[in-house]
Amino acid sequence: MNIFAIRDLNKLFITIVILLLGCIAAGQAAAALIANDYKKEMIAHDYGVAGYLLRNDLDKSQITTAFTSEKTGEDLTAGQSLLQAAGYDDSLNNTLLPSVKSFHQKYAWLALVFSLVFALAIIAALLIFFVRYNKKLEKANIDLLNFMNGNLNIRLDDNEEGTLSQLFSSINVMVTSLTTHIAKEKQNKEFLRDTIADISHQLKTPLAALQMYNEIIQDENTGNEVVDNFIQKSSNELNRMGNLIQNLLKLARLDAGSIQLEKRKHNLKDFLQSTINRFLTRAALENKSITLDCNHDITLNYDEEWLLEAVSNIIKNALDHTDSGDVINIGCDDTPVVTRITIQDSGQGIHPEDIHSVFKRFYRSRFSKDKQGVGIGLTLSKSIVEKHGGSIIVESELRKGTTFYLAFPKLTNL
Amino acid sequence: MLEILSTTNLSKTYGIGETKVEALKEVTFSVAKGEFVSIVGPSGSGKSTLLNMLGALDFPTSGNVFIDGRDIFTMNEEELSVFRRRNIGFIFQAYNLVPELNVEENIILPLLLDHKKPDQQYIDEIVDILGLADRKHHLPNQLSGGQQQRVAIGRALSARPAIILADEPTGNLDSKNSKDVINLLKLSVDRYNQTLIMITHNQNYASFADRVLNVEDGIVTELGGARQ
Repeated sequence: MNIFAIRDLNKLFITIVILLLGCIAAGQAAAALIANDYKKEMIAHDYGVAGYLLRNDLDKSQITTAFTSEKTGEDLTAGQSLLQAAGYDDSLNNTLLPSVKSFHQKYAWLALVFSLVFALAIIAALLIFFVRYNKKLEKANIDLLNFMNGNLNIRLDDNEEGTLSQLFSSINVMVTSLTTHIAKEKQNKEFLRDTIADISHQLKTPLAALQMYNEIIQDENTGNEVVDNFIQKSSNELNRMGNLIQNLLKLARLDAGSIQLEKRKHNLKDFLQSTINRFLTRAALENKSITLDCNHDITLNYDEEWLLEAVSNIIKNALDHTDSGDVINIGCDDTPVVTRITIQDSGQGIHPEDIHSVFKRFYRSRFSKDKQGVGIGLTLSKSIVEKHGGSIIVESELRKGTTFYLAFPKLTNL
Repeated sequence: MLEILSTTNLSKTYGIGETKVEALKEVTFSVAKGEFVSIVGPSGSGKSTLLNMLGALDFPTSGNVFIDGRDIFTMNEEELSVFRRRNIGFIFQAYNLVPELNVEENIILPLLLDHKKPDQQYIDEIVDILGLADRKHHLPNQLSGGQQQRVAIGRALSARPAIILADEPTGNLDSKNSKDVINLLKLSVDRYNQTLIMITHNQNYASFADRVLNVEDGIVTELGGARQ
């Protein structure tokens, strides 16, 4: 990978290179400045020495020659031994030589200011770059979060050169394909829902006709026992089919979200009593009893029609799975957090293998093939309870009985 | 469905006063992702003007074009060139391949311009589908017109753009090659769930599309498509 292809970094590199070039140029200028200064100092020093020698009556021409002529190594050694004897050598403390001291101070300051300026400039360049980079990443992060929160029209800003922008571009492609999938998924779900609703609706008319024909045959009183027997069976199946279609329609409507619950505050005991009354005939016929244990002052915010459906389905389910002599207990209680309806039976119970599946659509246990029902009632109950903001829990022990708890949090009443 | 492209009140006028020509009048339509839309209409009706505008090759007098939710005419020239490279694939009548580059290099050109590493598996697949596997290292001038146009299709697909714009892709081809090119276009669009907008003169090819837009005197109308 070519390093210069990382366009995001190009600007930073160029800035730093310019700064470093500036630093080099400034260093060269400083070197020239120092040389110039050194020359001045040296000449001033020489003037001093020359003046001193002149005032101490040395020959003028000799002094001039001393400064202008080329010195040999011998001159240097001779001078060194002479002055070293007076303690004037390299080990001499700089502070004792005023000119060297001021020279040092001046350039120490210059070098300090100089390096500080360049260090700050480079740090500033890096800082600006990283702050900008970070800003882009933060903005992208916020955009992505917004997308996750449902604003499907958001796309990242990807119209620049560079790897970051390429990454954003790829994310955009992903986001678009995700959005397409979401749209398609929604479409498919709607299609399925509409299909179920349409089919159920279309089946209702022929079914009603069949039920009518069946009744006509029944009224004929053929006197033939086999025919009567089969007419009864066919009538049962037709009723079952009618229930199924009605429940399917209800479920489709619930799933569609086209149902607006008309929630009102009602007394729970009255509601449960009237629900039970609908089953008393069947219970008496099958020699089962239904009892109600509910405090009179409990109220709940619910849609009467739909909750009736939910509770009825569970009671019906209980009747389907109990034997003669069994008891179905319906109760309700109230805690500061939830209002709860309990439907308990002393029937056969649910097999442990089935307990996780009882709310699944069309689930029929292989342990209760002989019972009537189509496996959609409990699904519908669950949908309705959940639509009320509540939850439904089932507990069961084989051959001891089953308990359904319908819990409605009080917060949803607000 | 998700709108990958939409235009609102797109208008283009050339000249002023007496010589004023309205090439496009208040064009508003949208294209869903994965759709194949063909644009038909007589010469000079504004088809190419429309397509150039969709590809941000030309600027409208008024109105907007949104590609994948972004208003392309609010971008500056530099942003636009990057945007085009990543989001729009072009197929022209005259192929417009780079003569110095071989088939494979031409196909991955949009990726190279973006300094991206090509996904070799995907590129090989495109080359295979387009029937160019044994021509990979040929130069454009060693290819027939049909083959050159197939390279152009590969180039349009390689960057997986949001939308592909084709301006009479079969304009320079004989009927057999035309059929091949159209079939391949349709096939690759379906396979990669690409969105294609194609100008064509040939009514038969227009019928390949999910929708047909008719342009006449700068006014765009939809010809009885299957879906709106």
